[in-house]
Amino acid sequence: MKILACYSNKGGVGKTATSVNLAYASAINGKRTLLCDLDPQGASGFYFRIKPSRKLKEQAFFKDVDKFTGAIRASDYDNLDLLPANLSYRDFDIFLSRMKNSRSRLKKALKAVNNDYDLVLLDCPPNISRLSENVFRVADRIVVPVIPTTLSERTLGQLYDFFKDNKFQKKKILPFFSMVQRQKKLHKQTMEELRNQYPGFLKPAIPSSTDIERMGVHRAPVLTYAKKNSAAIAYNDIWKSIDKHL
Amino acid sequence: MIPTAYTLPSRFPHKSISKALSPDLFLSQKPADEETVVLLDTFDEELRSSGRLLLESATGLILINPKSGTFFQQSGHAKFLCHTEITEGAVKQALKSVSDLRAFLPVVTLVLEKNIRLVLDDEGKTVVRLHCFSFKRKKNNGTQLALSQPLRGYVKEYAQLTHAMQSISREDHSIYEALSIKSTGFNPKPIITLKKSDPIKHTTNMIISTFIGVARQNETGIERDYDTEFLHDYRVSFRKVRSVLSLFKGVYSPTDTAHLKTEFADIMKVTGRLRDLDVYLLDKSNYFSLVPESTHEGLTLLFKAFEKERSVKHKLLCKSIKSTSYKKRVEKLANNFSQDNYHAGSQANIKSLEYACRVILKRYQKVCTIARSINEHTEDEVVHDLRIHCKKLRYLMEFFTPLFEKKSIRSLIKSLKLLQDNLGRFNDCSVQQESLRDFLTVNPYTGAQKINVAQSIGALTAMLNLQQQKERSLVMKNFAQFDSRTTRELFHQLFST
Repeated sequence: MKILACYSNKGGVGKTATSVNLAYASAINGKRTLLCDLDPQGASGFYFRIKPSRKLKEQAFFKDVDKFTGAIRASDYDNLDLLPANLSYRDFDIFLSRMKNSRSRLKKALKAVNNDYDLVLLDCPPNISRLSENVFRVADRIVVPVIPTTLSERTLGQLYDFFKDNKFQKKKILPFFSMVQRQKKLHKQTMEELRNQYPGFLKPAIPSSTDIERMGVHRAPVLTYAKKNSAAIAYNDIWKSIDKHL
Repeated sequence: MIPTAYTLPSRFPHKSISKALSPDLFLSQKPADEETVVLLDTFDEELRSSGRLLLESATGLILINPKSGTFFQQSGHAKFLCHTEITEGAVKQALKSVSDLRAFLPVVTLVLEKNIRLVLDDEGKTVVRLHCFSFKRKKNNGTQLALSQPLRGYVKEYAQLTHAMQSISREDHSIYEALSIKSTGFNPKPIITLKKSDPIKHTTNMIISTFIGVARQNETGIERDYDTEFLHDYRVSFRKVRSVLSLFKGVYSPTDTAHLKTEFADIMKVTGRLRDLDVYLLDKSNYFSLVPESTHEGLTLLFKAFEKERSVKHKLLCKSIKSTSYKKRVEKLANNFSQDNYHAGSQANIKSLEYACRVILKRYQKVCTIARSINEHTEDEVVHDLRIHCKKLRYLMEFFTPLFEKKSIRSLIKSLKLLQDNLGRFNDCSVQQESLRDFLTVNPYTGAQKINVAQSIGALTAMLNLQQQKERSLVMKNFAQFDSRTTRELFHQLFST
C-alpha cells in the first residue's frame, strides 16, 4: 500500500479538487484507492455525497481500529472508498500532543487498512502542524498544488525549508501548478522561475476551469462529467506522472 | 454483507420494494438495455451444474453466478470456442475452472433486459446497487435475477433492502428451470443402478447398454467437430464396452463374445489415428517448447501434415457415423443387449457381487505381482504390461462401484490414480516416439523439407525418450505408495468373499 498526500500550507489552491480527482483517476486505473479526508471541513466527502463520520471522533481516529475501518464508506465508483472527516478533526493536534509517539500515530492508524487498498490518498488541511508532520513522515510522496503567484511561491519555499530543518526527505515533495491562467503574464513568468528553482515540479499543470468549479454542483469528480475538459485531462496526466514516482 | 441473488418475476416489483424502504431511502432506476443473447454451455453442462449462466450478445459476454450473487462482463465471443480461445477478460478469468478442452455451445436464444437499480440516501449517494437481469423466452413467462451488491459502510441500508427482497423473491435460483431449458443429460461417467444379487449377465447387459448410449450421444458433436472431447468420450465409452467383453469372462457364450469383440473393434477402427492426431495438435505448443528453435521449421511442417491428415481422418469418421449401415449396426447391438438376446456363457448366472469380487481381487493380485517384480533393470515391456493391468483393474472397480460401499471403493480407485497417470504418461511418450518414427516413411518429403522434418522428429523423439525415462523412474515409487498396508487391507476387506 502506497500513501500519497495532497498538501499545501496555503488555503484555496485546489487541494480537495486535486485529492478527489487524483483518487478517482487512481481508481479507474485499477488501484484500490482510499481517499482519507483529514480536513475538518469535510469537503472531499461533500464532493462524493458522503456524510461526515459520526462515530470516528476525537482520539478514535488514532486509537480505535474498528471505528476507523467502520467509518470507511464506498463511493459511487468502483475501487474508490472514502474516510469522511468531521469537525472534531480540528482538534487533531491537541489529541496528538497528548499521545505517546505523537509523530507516528497516523502511520499506525493507516496500518489498519494496509491490505484493503493499493493507495491511500490523504487530503490534508492547510497548515503546518503536528498532524502535517505525521503526514510528511508517513507519505511516500506529497503532491503540492501551487498557484503561480508570489504568495504561493513563498509558501512553497516555506515548505521546503521546513523539510530541510526537520530532516524530512525533500524528494517526497511533488509540486505542480494549479489554477493556471495562461493569458496572465505573471502566471507564465512565475511558472518559469519556479520550474528553474525547483526541478521536481511535475510537468502537467491544471488550468483554471469553470468545470472544476462546477464539481460542487455535480458533487462528482470532474473526470466523470467533463472527461474532455483540459483540466480533467491534466488531472489524469498528473496521476500518471505521480504513479511513476510511487 | 455478501452479494446475494434473488429470483423474481420478469416484471420488477419496484413499488413494493420502494415501499418497504425507510423514508430517507429512495429506489432509483436507470433506463433498461434490451438485447438478444445466446446462452452457452459445454456439452457436459459444466455451467448449468454449477448454476452459472454464460451469455453472449453482440456487445460481448456476461457470466452470472447466482450462487455467489456476482456477475462479470467483457468484450469478445465464446460461442464454439474453448476456454483458452476466449480473449482475456473478467469472464475468462471467472471461467478458469471450466475444462480447457470443451467448447461453449449455444443452448438457447433469450431476450435479456439489463437494468441497474440504485438505493440512494437523502444526499443522492448510492448505498446499495441492484443489478437486474430479466430473461424472456418464447412461450415462457420469463424470469428475473436481481443481484444485490453491498457497498462498504452501508450495512443498515443493505439489511433493509435484503429484508425487502427476501419477502418477494422465490427461494429457487434455477433460471434454467424457470425458463424451461432442457438438459442434455450427458454424463460421461453415468451412475448405473446395479443389484448385488442380479445374475452377472443382466448386470453386464445394463453396463454395456449404458455405455453404448453414452457413446452415441457424442455422434453429433463429432460430426460438427465442436471440440475434441466428443471423440474422446465416444472412444472411452466404446473402449469400456470392449473391456467389459474381455474382462467379464464367461458371461456370454464364446461365439457371441468373439463376435461382439470384432464388432466393437471394427466400430472403433476409424477413430484411433484421429484421436492420436488430436492429442498431437492439442499439445502443439508443448512440442514446440520441448525442442530447440532451429528445429521449429521442420516441426511446423510436421504439424501442417498432422492438420491435413486430421481433416482427412475426420471426414472418413463422419462418413462412417452418418452411414445407414453404422446406425443399423449400433442400434442392433444396443437392442440385443437391452433385450438380452446373446447366449449365456458358463458364468452368466453367478450373482453380480460374487463375480465382481472375484475378478477385482484376481486383477489386483496380478497388478501387485507384476509391480513387485519391477526394478531399474526390468524391460519396458513389463511396465507396459503393468499399465494394462492397472487400467483393467480401474475399469473393473468403476463398473462395479454401485455394488460396494461408495466411500471405500472410491478411495481405492483414487489410490490407483497416481500410479495410473504415471504409467499413462510413460505409455504416451512411447506411442508418440513410435508414431513419429513411422511418420517419415508414410509422408515422403524431399530435399530441404525432408532434412528439416527429420531433424525436428529426431529432436522430438530424443525429448520424448527423456520424458519416458523420467516417468519410468517414478513407477516403483508410485507403486510403493499404492501398495500401502491400508490399501492392501481395504482391497481384501471389500472384495474377499
